[in-house]
Amino acid sequence: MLQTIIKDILTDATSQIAVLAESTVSKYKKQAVADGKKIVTNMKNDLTRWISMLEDRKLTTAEFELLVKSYKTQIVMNGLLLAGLSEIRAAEFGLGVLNIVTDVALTLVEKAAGKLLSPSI
Amino acid sequence: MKKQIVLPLFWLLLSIALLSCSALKYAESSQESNKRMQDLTIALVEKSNQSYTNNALQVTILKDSFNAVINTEKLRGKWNLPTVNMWTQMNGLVTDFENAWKAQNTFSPVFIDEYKQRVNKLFDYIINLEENKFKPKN
Repeated sequence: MLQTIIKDILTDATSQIAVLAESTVSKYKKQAVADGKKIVTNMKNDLTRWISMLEDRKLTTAEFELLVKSYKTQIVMNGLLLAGLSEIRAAEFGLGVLNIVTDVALTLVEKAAGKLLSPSI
Repeated sequence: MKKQIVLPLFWLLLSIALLSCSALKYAESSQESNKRMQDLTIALVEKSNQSYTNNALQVTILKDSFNAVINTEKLRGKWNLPTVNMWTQMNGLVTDFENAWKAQNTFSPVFIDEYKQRVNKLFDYIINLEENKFKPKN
């Protein structure tokens, strides 16, 4: 019975991840979905333990819900981390390009200044 | 003529480069704030075996601190939006926690142990994102 509940929850969560990824990090949807599924797989151990605690009345329904909800937050955070890291990588690349252009521009300026200063033959 | 074009272009590119860099720069003060907020949140979760009524003021103070952090992070510019959104998520989590605490009045020790691990895990996302921003070379 416990295994069936867990299986149903995991299947349901997995199917909702794609929708969530689309609305939060559409540009990185593919990786977000893959990471989200990984989180759901990792969630299985916690979920099994929490359901067992719920059945033993060590956890209330409200407490169980709060714990499960924290995983929803984790999936969103994971998407945001991914988006943030991609932006950082994109900016790093942009800065690299700018550095090259700056170096080229500097060289040209130096050459031009050198020509202006050098005595004419 | 060449110099007239190249020089302004050089300064323009340099300005853009510096602006991009500052927008994504790692901030030691933000990282310290992230860790301080993590400690404060965990401390509050640990107190939730006591009555909500006795701790309502601490909850309000923590929520105010969350809002202050969100506002500070917003000031770091549009590049910092993922961090701002992460804080908004954490703010929602604290609000859910507060509502449940208010309704239930106390939480069980088992729940507190489990929830602390979850809160720590979520704060790790904010800390990791900050850690990956540009760090000035010494």
